[in-house]
Amino acid sequence: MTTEHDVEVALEQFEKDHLYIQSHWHEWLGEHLDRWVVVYQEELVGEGSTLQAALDDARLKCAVENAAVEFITHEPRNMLL
Amino acid sequence: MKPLNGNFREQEVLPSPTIKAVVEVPGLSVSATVEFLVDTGAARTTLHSGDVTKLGIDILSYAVNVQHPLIFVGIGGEASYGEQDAILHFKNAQIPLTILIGPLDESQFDLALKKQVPSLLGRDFLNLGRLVVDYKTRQVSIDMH
Repeated sequence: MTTEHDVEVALEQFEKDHLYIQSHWHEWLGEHLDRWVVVYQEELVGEGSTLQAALDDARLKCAVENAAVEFITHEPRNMLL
Repeated sequence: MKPLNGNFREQEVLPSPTIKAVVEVPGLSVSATVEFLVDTGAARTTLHSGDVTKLGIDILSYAVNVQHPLIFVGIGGEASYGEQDAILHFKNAQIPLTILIGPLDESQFDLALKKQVPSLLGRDFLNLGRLVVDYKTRQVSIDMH
């Protein structure tokens, strides 16, 4: 993926997929608590107890390299880097 | 060149500034979308465990081939990283940058994954332009002029 158009499309979709995760966060706290989720084209395409398992689950349905992935947890990230 | 725009990630104790890019690593023949934390405390732009995994890089195989690992210091101690030439693609710009990939140590890599340590957009990139982070207006941007 190196053309300007491809990059633009991928980044716009990536942004939408992150918003999709954000909008489903509270719902998924019930269904996918402490699990990784993979979202592509505003659809949940994979999940698993590890990131690798979630990516493997999603791989049949999409190019996971362009998907949004998140760990669904009650504990928001809190770090000093 | 228009400014590179980001936004605030809300799934945090405090919202954090992020910028998304497509990262291409020609030497490893991989590319992926990445959400970077804008981190003025980080000297170097770094891909951490989650994005390394998403890129399909097997850290054990990668680490074996890193001839000159670089050691960096953080709160948790030291960690080693490999350097890799990359291209960061944004909506209106593509910028070549030598980034870090790691941690190379398997246990540190797994811990960073467990703790969801984000990939970082560091000062090697941020110092190329004028960074604006304004939570009041929700503006995150870098003007590369």
